[in-house]
This record gives sequence, C-alpha cells and structure tokens, in this order.
Amino acid sequence: MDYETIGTAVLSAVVVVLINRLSLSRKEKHEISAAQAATSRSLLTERQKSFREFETALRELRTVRDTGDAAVVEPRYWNVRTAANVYFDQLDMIASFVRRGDIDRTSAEQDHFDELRKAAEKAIPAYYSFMHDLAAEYGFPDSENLADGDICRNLRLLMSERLSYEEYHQLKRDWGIAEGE
Amino acid sequence: MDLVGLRVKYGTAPGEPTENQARAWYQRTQDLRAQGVEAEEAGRRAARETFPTCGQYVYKREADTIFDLIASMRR
Repeated sequence: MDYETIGTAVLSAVVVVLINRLSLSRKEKHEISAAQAATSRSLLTERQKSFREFETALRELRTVRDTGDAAVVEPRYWNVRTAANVYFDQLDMIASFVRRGDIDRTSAEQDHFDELRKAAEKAIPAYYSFMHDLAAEYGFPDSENLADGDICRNLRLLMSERLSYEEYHQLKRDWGIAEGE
Repeated sequence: MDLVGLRVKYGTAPGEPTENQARAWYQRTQDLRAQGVEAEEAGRRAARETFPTCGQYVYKREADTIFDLIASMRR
C-alpha cells in the first residue's frame, strides 16, 4: 500500500467518525449526558467516603499529637498519610475526569468544583506543611514533597485552567512550586 | 440517590432526607425544571418543600474540616 492510499483511508476514517459524532441523535446525546451525571455522582459518593476516613484518621492523630511519645504517635501518623493519599488521589482523579470532559461542566460545578478548589488552595498545602513539621518533630520518615510538582498534578493543572493568573500563582507559591513549572 | 450529599447540601438534620423524601425531592425538582426553573434554583425550592429540616444545619465542608483539624494540631 502506498502512502497516498493509506493517507486517504485514514482521512476517510476520521471524516466518518467526525460525521457520526456530529450527527448524534438526541437520544444518544441524552444518554451520554445521563452517563456523565451518573459518573459524577458515583465519584461524589467515593469522595465523601474517602473524606470520612481521612477525617477519622486526623481526629485519631489529634488525640495523641501532644503526648511526645513517638511510639504512640507513629502508627497514627502513617494512618493519616495513607488516608490522605487515598482522598487526595480521589480528588486528583476527579480533576482529570473534569479536564478530559468525562464529567460534564454542570455536574462538575455542582458536585465537585468547590471542594476541589478549596482543597487545592487551603487544605492540601496546610496538610503537607503540617505533616512535614510533625515528621521533623518526632523523627518520622517524610519523603513527600508538594513542591516537586508531581502530587495532585491533575488537580493543580485544573486550577491553572480555571483560576485567575494571580490566584494560580498564589497557589503555586503556597505549594512551594518554583516558577516555570 | 446520594442521601448524605443531599443532607450536606441542603442542611437537613441527621437521618433526613429519607429515601422517600429524596425521591419526592427529585420528582419536584424535575417538575420545576419542566416549568423552566433553573436547575440549582429548582433543587433549592424542592428541598424547602420536601425536607422538613431544610436549612437548619450547617455542615462544614470537606476542605474546611481538614484545614481546621490541622490548624488545631499546630503548635
């Protein structure tokens, strides 16, 4: 097969796909948006569940935080880190769905955006800063560094797309991320 | 239907809304939207009509709760 034949075949295939997409019936469009809304709701249920576990772990850490006893604090420190990772991964996944358009704009706004934004601007930098200080105080291992730019990357990129220039740059400063990243 | 989500959003008492109330809320929201009411407003109006304790509770949202818990642990 020569390149011209292959090129024509590919172009034809693309055109066919585009025409099919553009001419979705009303029923198909309705099904797609119902599926997106259902996706958003089930992600919401998961998010709320992982939040409750994270909250529980934080409260349990708080009850021993001032004991000064590393042996008592350490298991709760790890519980918090685990629960936080699950919850923040959940937020990051939701952000990636929103960015890809797998959740429609309305469902994303209604179900998730407020929490995603407040997590990105307030809760996440506060959490990593606190856990870093606590690890230093008790001598626990702490390799997680928000400033590297890899943690919650989809969430951060979603914020770069939705926040104002100033708001996003404030976020980067609060996360400790250097300019140009 | 997500009862916890409805409770947090519309500020109802623990235990509310029940499955039946949530179904009635959903139906009422759809009816209002069919009349041309905007989606969020329809949900709010329907909640006031179908949930007896609507708006009586304020639930701190997730990020605020995390932030406050952490703040309470800082020296």
